[in-house]
Amino acid sequence: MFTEWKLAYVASALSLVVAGVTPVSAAPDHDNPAGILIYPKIVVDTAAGIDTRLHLSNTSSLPQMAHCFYVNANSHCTNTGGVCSSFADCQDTTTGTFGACVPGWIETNFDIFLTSNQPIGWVASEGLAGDELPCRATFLNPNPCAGLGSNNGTRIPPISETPFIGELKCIQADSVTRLPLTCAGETCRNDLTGNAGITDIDTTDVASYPAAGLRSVLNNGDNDLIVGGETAEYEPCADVLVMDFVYDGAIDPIGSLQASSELTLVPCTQDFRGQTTPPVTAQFLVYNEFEQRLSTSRRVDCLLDTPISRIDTSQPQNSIFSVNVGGTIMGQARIRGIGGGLTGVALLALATDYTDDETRLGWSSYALDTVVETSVADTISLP
Amino acid sequence: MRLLDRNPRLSGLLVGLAVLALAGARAQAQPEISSTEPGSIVVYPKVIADGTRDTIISLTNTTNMMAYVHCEATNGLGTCSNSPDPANQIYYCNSDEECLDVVDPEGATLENVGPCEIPCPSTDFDVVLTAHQPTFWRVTTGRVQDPALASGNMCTSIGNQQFCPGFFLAPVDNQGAGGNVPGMSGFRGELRCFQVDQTGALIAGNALKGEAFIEALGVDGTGVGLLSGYNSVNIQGGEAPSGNVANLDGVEYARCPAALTFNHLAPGSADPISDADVEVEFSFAPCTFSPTFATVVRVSFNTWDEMEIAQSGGDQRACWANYRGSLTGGMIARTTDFLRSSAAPGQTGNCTAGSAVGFGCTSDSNCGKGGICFDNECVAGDSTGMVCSSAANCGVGGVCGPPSGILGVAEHFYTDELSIPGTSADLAHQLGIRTINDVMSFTGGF
Repeated sequence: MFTEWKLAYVASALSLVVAGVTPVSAAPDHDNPAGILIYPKIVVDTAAGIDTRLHLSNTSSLPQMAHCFYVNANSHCTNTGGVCSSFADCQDTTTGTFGACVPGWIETNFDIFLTSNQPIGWVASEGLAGDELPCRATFLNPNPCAGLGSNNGTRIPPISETPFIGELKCIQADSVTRLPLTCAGETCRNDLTGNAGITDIDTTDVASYPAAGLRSVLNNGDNDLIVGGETAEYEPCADVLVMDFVYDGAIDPIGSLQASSELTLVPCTQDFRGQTTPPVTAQFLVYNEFEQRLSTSRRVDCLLDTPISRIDTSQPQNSIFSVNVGGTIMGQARIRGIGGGLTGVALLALATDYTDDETRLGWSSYALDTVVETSVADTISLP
Repeated sequence: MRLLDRNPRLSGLLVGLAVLALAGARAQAQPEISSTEPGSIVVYPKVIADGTRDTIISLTNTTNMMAYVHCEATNGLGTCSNSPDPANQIYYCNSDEECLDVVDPEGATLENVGPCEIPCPSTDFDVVLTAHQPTFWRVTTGRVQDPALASGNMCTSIGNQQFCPGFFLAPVDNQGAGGNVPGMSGFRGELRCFQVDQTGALIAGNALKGEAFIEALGVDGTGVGLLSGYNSVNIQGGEAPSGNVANLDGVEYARCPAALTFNHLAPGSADPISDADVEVEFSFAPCTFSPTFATVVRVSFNTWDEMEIAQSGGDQRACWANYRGSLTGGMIARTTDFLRSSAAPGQTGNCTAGSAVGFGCTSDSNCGKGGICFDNECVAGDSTGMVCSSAANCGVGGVCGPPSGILGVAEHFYTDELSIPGTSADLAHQLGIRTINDVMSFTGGF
């Protein structure tokens, strides 16, 4: 049965179709405040001295609330339960037998209440709660900060295990329903900006990147968020991601160090309610500086985080992302998601031996460029 | 309102009409400024090649058509005009304040050594990209044109020039210059590249994107390989730009942002993970650009901490602004560790023509480009790039143009007990769109 709101919503959506325009054509951007923020790469490895700093800001003069989801994309051993990257990590020392390394996808959600114009930050391995909250209201001090609102209700958990590879997604939401408010056009709230910094404690170097933003354009207030397509509630994810990269093993033209890159991809469609994410196939077209083209593809189940020269092979020197194959220093990869949209981030590292993380001297991350051609719909389903 | 409350169809229709109007506005294909969508003008707001760090510029054609590119690099690095030994030791600066407390060769501190003279020279060159071609160059060496250098995994340096494997075209332009991307040393500034056609006229091809990677050189044996990287700012073209004057009016090209906002750590704080000391540097390139005058970059800052306590301030620099957090006069003093700052263009105008001769002055820098201050009066120099509120402020033949928009990047420095500074860079987020048009122009071309 249609409610009054649903009628209004349908009329709004129809009006967009009648207008003869794709409802939204802008790609996810890293430049403007948005209603959904995606931090595609959160890394914590205390043994290796790596942790991630997260920064979330409210650019509005009104208090805002963000409903956030950590996605733990670790794989686990079937026998020991430990975190693994391959079966070789799954040897049971008591029996000497190996278990299987099974990909996982576990979400943890929490709320962040931001006061007006407030920036807030935390370290992924530590979280933020209790007395550490900057604006914690009490009965005797209901307005602890200069402006409107408080951080009460915020409890950011530490990531659930270490080592950790995963994603953070924050959705601007109503503080009561924890769902986005109903809105149309300019009444939709797009107030959040964010950055993440992956820190290597040994080198003090930080690879920072801006969170990808999806701007809200229309919303019916339910818990299925339509990203792109004919009835878009948020701007679409990209059809094509464009990654400039330095070929793995190429010699850096400044410091004569060896370069290597990592790529992280996250599907835009995610079902936090059913705890599933449909697989997306990433098709790669790789161009070198001679305009020569090679291609490969790789399935992205819930999160792909890999050195680029291991996207298509277990032997990096034979990869189409290896300088041995590419033949030039710089390349361009066009990454098309088949079966759904993708977002992601790239990381460039310099080392004395690019195959050995221990020799890494510095790193830097950067956003992937986005191209929207057909605006395929993705869906984020909230619990 | 009661009617609307009782009649959902009517309210739906009205909401629909409102959205229709919005959709209609969007259907005008408004060009945007983006760091993740290709554009027709790409701006790298911070490029460093100053002997301590160097920069790799990557530039990519994302389309299956040839892309012709004209680039202008503006050096915003100045020198302290009264350096005690300029022949042997140059005191680089971005503002007069940085010329304070210069130490002379004998070790004595010299106060008020300035002013900081910033001539803002610009260097231009051309690059041609084939379909989907990526390319790059190192700023200090540039890159020599070589259409068919064989495959390989490294560049070859000969003298101060670099040859790299790949198809690289940097043609000689119609003024006889070119054949390579020129190397630039002693450089701290910005780079912008325009997509043009074979004749050198602007086109809105929206084919270009890029990144900049600023790399430490390991001076004194520390910090080699530390990287800061950021995406270029891509200004999309819209309708029919032509010639060599780009109007950022929302029609020909996207308008610049009304303000920028940065998420950053507080200068003087400790990194929450590595515990290293944090310093922050903000760099701004003006949206308005001309090779004939230096656009003054005026920035108005607002900073909020986690307690919502706000601080504000403003400043101006010639052609390119670079602020260390600790040099901003308390604008970004530490209150909590995580901060958000917004930076908006200043409100005062910018002289785009006029003579400063006859103006009162206390130093050469008061007399604009080529200025000479004698007996408290400018005897040479033009007023272009000086602050103005009317044409009269710009001297004989003066023109007072609008204040320029700004594009920016923030860079963090993390220094541990070994004094090895890790780094990271982040482009600003944008807040709104300016109502004032900016204009970029250039000379030369194919």
